[in-house]
Amino acid sequence: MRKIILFIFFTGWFLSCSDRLEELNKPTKDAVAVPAETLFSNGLNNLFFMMNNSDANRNVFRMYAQYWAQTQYPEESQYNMVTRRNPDNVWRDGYRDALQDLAQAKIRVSETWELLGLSEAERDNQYASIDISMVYGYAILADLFGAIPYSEALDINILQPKYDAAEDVYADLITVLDNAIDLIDGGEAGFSSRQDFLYGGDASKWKKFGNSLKLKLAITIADVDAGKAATMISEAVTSGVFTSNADNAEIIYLDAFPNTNPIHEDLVQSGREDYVVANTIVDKLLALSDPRLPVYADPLDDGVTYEGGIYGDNNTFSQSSHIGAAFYNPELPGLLLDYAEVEFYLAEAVERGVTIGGTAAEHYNNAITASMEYWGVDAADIATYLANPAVAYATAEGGGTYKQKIGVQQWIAFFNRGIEGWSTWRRLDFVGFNVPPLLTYNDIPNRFIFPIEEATLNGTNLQAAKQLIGGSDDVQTKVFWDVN
Amino acid sequence: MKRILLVCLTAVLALASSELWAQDRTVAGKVTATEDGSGLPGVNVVVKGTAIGTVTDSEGAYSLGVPASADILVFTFIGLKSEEVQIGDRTTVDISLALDVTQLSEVVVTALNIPREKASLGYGTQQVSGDQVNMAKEQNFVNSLSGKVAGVQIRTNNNFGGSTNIVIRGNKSVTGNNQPLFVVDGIPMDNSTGNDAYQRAGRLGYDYGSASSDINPEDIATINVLKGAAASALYGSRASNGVVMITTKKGKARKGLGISLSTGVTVGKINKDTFIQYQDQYGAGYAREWFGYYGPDGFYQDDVNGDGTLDNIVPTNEDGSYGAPFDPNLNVYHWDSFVPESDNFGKQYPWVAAKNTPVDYFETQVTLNNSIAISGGNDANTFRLSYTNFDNTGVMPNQTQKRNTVNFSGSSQINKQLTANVNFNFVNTATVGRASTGYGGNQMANFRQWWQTNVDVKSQKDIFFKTGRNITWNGGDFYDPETPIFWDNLYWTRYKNYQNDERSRVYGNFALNYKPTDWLNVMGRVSGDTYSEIREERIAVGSVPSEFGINKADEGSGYGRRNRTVSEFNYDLILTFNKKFGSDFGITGVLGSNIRTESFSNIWATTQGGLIVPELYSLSNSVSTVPNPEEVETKKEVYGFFANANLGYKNMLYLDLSARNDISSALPPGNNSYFYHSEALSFVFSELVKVPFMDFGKVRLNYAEVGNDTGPNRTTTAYTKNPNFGPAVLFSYPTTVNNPNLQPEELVSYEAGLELAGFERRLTFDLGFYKQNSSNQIVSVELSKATGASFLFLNGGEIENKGIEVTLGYDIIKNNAFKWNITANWAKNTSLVKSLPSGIDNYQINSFQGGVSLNATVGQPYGVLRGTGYQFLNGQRVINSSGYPVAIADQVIGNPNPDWTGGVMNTLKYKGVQLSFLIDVSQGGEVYSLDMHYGQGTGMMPETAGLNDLGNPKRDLLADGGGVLFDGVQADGSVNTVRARADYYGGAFYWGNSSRQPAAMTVYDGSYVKFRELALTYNLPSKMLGNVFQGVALSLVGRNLWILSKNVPYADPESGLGAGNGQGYLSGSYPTVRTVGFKLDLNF
Repeated sequence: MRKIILFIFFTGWFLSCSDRLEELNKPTKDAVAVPAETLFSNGLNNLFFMMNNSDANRNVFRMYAQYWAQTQYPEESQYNMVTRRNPDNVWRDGYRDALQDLAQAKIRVSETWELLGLSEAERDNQYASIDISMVYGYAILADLFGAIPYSEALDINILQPKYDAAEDVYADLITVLDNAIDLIDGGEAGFSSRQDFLYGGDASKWKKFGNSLKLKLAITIADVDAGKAATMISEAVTSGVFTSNADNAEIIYLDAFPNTNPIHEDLVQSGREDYVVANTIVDKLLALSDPRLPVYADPLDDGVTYEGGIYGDNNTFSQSSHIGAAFYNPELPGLLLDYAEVEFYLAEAVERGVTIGGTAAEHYNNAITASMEYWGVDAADIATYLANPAVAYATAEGGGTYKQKIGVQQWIAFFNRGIEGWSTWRRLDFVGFNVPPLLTYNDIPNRFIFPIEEATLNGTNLQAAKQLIGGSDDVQTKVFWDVN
Repeated sequence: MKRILLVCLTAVLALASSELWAQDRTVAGKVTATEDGSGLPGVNVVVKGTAIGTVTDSEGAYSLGVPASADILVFTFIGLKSEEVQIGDRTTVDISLALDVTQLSEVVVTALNIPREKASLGYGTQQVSGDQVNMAKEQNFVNSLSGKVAGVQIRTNNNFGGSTNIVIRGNKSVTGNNQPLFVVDGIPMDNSTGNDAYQRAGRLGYDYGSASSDINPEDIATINVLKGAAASALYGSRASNGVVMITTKKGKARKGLGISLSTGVTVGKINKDTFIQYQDQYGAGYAREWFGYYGPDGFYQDDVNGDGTLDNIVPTNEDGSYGAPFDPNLNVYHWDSFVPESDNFGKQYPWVAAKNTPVDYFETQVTLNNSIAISGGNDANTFRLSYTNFDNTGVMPNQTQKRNTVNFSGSSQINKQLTANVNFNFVNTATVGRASTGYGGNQMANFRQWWQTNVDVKSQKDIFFKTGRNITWNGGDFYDPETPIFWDNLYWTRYKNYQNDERSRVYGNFALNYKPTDWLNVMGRVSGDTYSEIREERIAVGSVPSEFGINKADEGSGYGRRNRTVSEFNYDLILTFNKKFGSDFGITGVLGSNIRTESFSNIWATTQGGLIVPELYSLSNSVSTVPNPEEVETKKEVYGFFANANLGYKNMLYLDLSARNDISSALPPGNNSYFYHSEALSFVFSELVKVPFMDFGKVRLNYAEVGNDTGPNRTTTAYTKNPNFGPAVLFSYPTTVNNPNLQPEELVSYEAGLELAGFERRLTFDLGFYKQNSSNQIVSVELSKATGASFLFLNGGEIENKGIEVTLGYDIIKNNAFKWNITANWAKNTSLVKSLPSGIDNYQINSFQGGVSLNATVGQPYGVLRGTGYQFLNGQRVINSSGYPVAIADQVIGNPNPDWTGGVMNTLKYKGVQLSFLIDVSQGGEVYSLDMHYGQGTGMMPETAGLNDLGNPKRDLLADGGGVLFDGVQADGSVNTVRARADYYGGAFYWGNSSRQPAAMTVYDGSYVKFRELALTYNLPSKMLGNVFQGVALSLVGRNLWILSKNVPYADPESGLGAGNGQGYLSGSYPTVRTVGFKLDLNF
């Protein structure tokens, strides 16, 4: 009996400590609540990383766009995306590392804006910055995969989110983007200049970015919905798109890791010699006497000869042109969207019959000029180049079909933007890509396959997603806007 | 808290001591053995029909106060026939006890260190003596258990100082710990490795070994393995993977001091069957002369000597051996032709296979073990004090481990009722140059996957010791051998880029036993295990950049340090009672409570951007700002209450009931208390039916339900701090999301067994069956990244393990002079993943280089390998039109779990000579070899060279009759006749194409038969010893002497990354070390 009493005493003492038990299990070294703007900056930084890195496990698109070739290990150039699980990694970079932090930032803004004493306009500008960034990220994922989780994504309560067809995703993204552009009050502040490394909290610049992104989405869907595209283009141009390189959605990387341009890690820090410039781009630049050649590539040891590595094959580092010195600079900026791109879209818009002012040739020349100015080509060389019959809009290859000439020039301008370079080839179908040894032209991917891990982590929805893209999860399947 | 315990302890003592028994007179005497007349200590002497009794002392003497009414004394001792003696009016009762062959019973230590008669146990346990683990010594004594205990699967990894994977009755947890609990003299010991996730996934890292290696084998008296949940239920939930209970040697009452000295030396060499063999026909390069960028002889070309003609130069930047055929008449420039300090500077010399291949790189391992123990005692007090020095060098250059252990145990009888026990251990282990594991920076990966057969390891050694610089065979530019492209100079890596670590550990306990009456004991005990450890890793300035540091960036130099402290304290209050009711019934019971506190802290900090001052290894010597350190600090407390009763009837039928309730801080309030129980029945049927030749027979049955908590800090989600971007502060949503609604895990276990002994105990037999289902597991489930996270802690899932264990022993010869015993054990475990949380059908345990992963897949055994598999057509492998096997993504390509494991131990004794040897067998189970995947691709193994089925060199062009013919069929079903090209690395052995050459090609059967251990001991006869020595033994020992059978080419199927759930993956695997040595034991 006495022992029982003793036991009850003991038990009572333990149970009275349940507060203490709960306290013991709380994190003591990590924050359970953080400022919204820190999540926004992180998500945006990761979005730039996703677009700009050159990790062979992830972003292989500088190869797919045939800007870079590989030396000893050309697996990625041969479109092997299974062994290294590249689709899985790009997907993760997009959803988990970029979009989720942006989404969480939005939640935190809604939870804290009043406490922080923000005006509604400031809050809305923050919402808009987040939404524009998210629209950009989702559009890229949709472009890569053809169908992606969207309506059920980024919700920890839905462990197996269903996929939405890319065209449905686009339709909603356009609505979200329109709302975001409307929300922006260019005269009010957004995120702090400390945290908004893109535009320093200048909401009017975000508005231009939003409109330029709208232009990009419009052009992307132009082949499948010309009417909607025309409306969007007109609205975007009226509201105001990028008008100079100063408007670029650009990140200025810093000189010390981990804030260096991510390609610095692969080209310099690794000490490896995996990449050289591909013959595809080198040969084209040589053919056009393009003054960007010495920027994009280094000559061989003789100081004059440019020889790109054979795309898709293995190459000797010392016997191929290296990637230009500018790309070995840790502070090389990274881009989401730039003025040159906008002008190319405007040229295309004119060709597609949308009235926006200016001729296709003017916009085409503006685009090339913007690209060359960005890479530091002097004015005289630009003028000479534009006068080159192989470049001049009227006489360039492709003649009457704008897709070839705009496609090639846009592809050249996108040299440091692998995903967009490859997408331009997919969308405009310009002629000029090489075929890796043992492969055929049809083996050049039209899309990224779904992440391999989705088969086991989200299998049922993955099966349904295959139907959404036409039944077959392979690289030949085209995404919805790629109708040719 | 300690004070409260003390208060409680005192209260219990006060309560209990009031119940004392009246005594009227005293009876004394001496109990001796019938066999040899020696005094028998520890014999129970009880007045029949009462609980009044005592035990004999070390000389066999006893003295007992008995009531006037007492008339019969009962003398019992396990293994001896019980005697009942009329007292009459005597005050001295002497008696001799004879052996009882029908009582197999031995005393075994059970959960909570409670000794029990084995016959009364309704669950299986297996005991191993200390001699069996300290004879042929290993860095970790656990390695020495391999093949000795049925149902205990051990995988030693061959990593120097590395961890040992030990699993009892199969893996029960999807993601949690599957290693058993280690308990030394009642002190639970941490056995974590602290290896980081990067290492476990086969990337860069070191195997830091299992913390159980701190247990000094010299101090081990016995090891008892509690295999099932019923056996370990009293230990609480964390013992659900079984318990390895270690009892250390103790002092005994004796005249004078006993001194034991032990000294041992062993030397080891690698077993060449477990290391790669190289083809000797082709050298450096990735392709032949007809391919792209090589000159006409298959070399790089330049006019090195300025004579106006192009010279042949070895492609130093290509870390493969798919290049030009060796030709002793062809002189070329090698890597050292460009090294001014080399004798070959400026010289061209013949293109031949290296004289000294990597097999010559390995050194002789030397292990020294010296130990001294002093023990002594009298009737009231005993003690033992020991010191052991273990000093080990490895087979790699610059590899040492030194361990110093001090152990003290003492026991003091303060008065008739109060005994104090103390146990204290201090261990310091310092290691330099541990094995780098996996793919990155591991020299075994270099040798097995990326090597040039023309490189002579001795010339690498000579140039390093001559210059002290990183002059490598693998310069990115052959003119510059000091700028390596992938691999450093072999000796630079060992002498400059080594790691070191040191761990100081204190563990021990203090216990007070209060025995108010002979049937009741109250124990209060405090035990603790605490250690702190520092781990330092470095890359010297001038090395190949490799993933390093907090941010896993490619760093050409750097320094990192990790400080870990781990501690656990246990406070126990345990009442045990032992009462007889009449002559037939008895009850042994336990009632207790336990408070456990655990704390863990870990700080990992590294430089970034390289080191400023070479050779200065400090955090402040960082080029860039030191990144945020990784800082982990967790605490956990668990409060347990438990009761156990063992009811016995006539030494024949025993019912064992246990119950325990735990309250754990790791679970959310409301779900943090969980109850569990076990029921076990033991029926000694030989007491009821006498069968000829059978001395003893017992069946056992048990059932247990055990709950389990989880690790700390899994209920509240916290954000991750990333390095700032300029002034911008960056936080991110965590990749692993915690869950405030976690519930306890459940384990349900059934077990049945049969124990027999016959032929005068020459035959012993033990058969066990079990089935265990672990469900509602707490799993960090991997999610579709579209959820915005990678992992979420969830409850769910079920794994079932079923198995059979058999142990059979027989004395083939048994007479006074000669004894030959064979003991064999055999066990088969089958695991099945029945479900996973939230309806997923696959959980990826680890994802490895080579596109291979280890998985828990519903409907499959735990831990299957997945990767690209063969495509089959009518049971035949499909070969594509270019002659390559077609690959299909994401197939189950192997099951690393063995079909069965077993061991056969032979022990022969002739007078003072004893010979024992162990054959250790593991049958079935598969391993994936990244070494073969890349190593064949780079053309290093003999099978990548030589002649094909046509008699032509495989490496010739297809047009010239070269190539390799794969067995299989073409897509149309016709027998394949298309040869795959093998003239360059991208052909028949290529690693980089996902549509062909599936990962399944390098999956191998992991079976082995090993001649694991041999020990020959000579005990000097006592007449030779004189007065000084009480015992002298000289032993010759050998470990891992032969692998009698295996199917994994060029590697030990047991090798791997380290302990943990990621097994069955070989990458940069280390060869087996064969050791022989001698040991001298002196007892004064």
